[in-house]
Amino acid sequence: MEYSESRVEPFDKVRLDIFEGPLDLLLTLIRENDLDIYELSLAKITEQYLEYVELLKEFDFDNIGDYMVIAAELGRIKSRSLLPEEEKEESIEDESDLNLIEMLKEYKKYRALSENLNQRTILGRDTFKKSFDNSLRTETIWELETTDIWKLVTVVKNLLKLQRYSEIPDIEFEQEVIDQVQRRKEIENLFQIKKKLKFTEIFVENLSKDNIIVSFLIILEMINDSMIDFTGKDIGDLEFFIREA
Amino acid sequence: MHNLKRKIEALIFISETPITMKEIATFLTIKIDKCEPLINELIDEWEKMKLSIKIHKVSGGYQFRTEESYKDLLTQFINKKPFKLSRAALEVLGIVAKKQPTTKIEIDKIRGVDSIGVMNVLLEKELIKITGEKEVPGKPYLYSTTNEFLAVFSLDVLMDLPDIEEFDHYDSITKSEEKNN
Repeated sequence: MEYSESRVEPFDKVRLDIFEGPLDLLLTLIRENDLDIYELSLAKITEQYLEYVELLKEFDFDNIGDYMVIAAELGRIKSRSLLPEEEKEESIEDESDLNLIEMLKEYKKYRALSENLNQRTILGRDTFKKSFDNSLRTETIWELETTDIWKLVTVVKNLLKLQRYSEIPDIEFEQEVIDQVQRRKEIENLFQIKKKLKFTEIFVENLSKDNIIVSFLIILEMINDSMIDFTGKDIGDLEFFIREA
Repeated sequence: MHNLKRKIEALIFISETPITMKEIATFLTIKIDKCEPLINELIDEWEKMKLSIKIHKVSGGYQFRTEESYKDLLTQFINKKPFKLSRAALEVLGIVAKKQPTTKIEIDKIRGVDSIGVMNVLLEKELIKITGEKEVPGKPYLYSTTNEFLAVFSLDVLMDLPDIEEFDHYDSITKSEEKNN
């Protein structure tokens, strides 16, 4: 999104409009695991969902609470799925005011509608009208998000796991201070030189966990600002490229 | 002596926003039912000529717009940084379009996440607007889509959007298609 307010601390708070929310994440996981929307499917993907939330927590953003609410509900569903059949009958009374299955089914329809909107002939993207302003300054040129940010999150999540950060016990290491502005300059310079960068050229080996996260947030910002985009799915073939102006 | 049809054509041509049949009929002091067949003839004529522009019926009115095949050329010519609408923004637009007038609470409930940032962007770009307050405690604002929304998404009326229930099995359909490929 385009906010024009001057930000004193550029990347401290990520504008995570770029993530669609916990239901979107759940639907994505359900789809990736080739499941349908049933309680059992949710029980199956609970662990995966929690892994993503762990990563999102690192970003320190406002909406994390919304992800936690769903996480709690998934935990409840999961524990109920582990109960033997007869006890399940007893606990069937829903104490929760969330009906995740219904929520997901309803949300899925609107997600489909948003795809339908994206496919329409859009004024300022697919079709244009006569402008009465010769410099065309007043016309809005639209661009609609097409890349799936969760793909990128997945790769970063896998990278962190790969480096076994999750197994590091809760010991406070000496905090490496990462200058976000400096790091952004570094990344921008890399793009100046090469135009196309493989994932592993930005997320180089031996990058600290904090640095990975900061770099990732910078990349998200740059994608959001339409400066760069990416293709590919895994660490091996994921590539970022500078967008034509 | 100008042909009435050509007068209508000229009016559509110079209008910056889609001009309605009523505006045309009132200005030319003709009856709407005399105006309508003439406009339809115009639309057909432009369509048949296969030019780079034709008349579109959008947002309750008529407007000359370019053919989609010229989009790359025109984007290059305008050469301006595009305004990016996230998928989240499209979702909120869809919810407002279907549920309007609706409150932020209802939107958040469907999406399972706070939508304030996205809604501010949509308000700023005039794709949605505040149309009142709901008569419940706290009097939350009610939001609706705008004529600009219809114009941008090439809709004549809201009813042109597909029924939301049509999407009930959407995912399972695309999933099985993928499997077949």
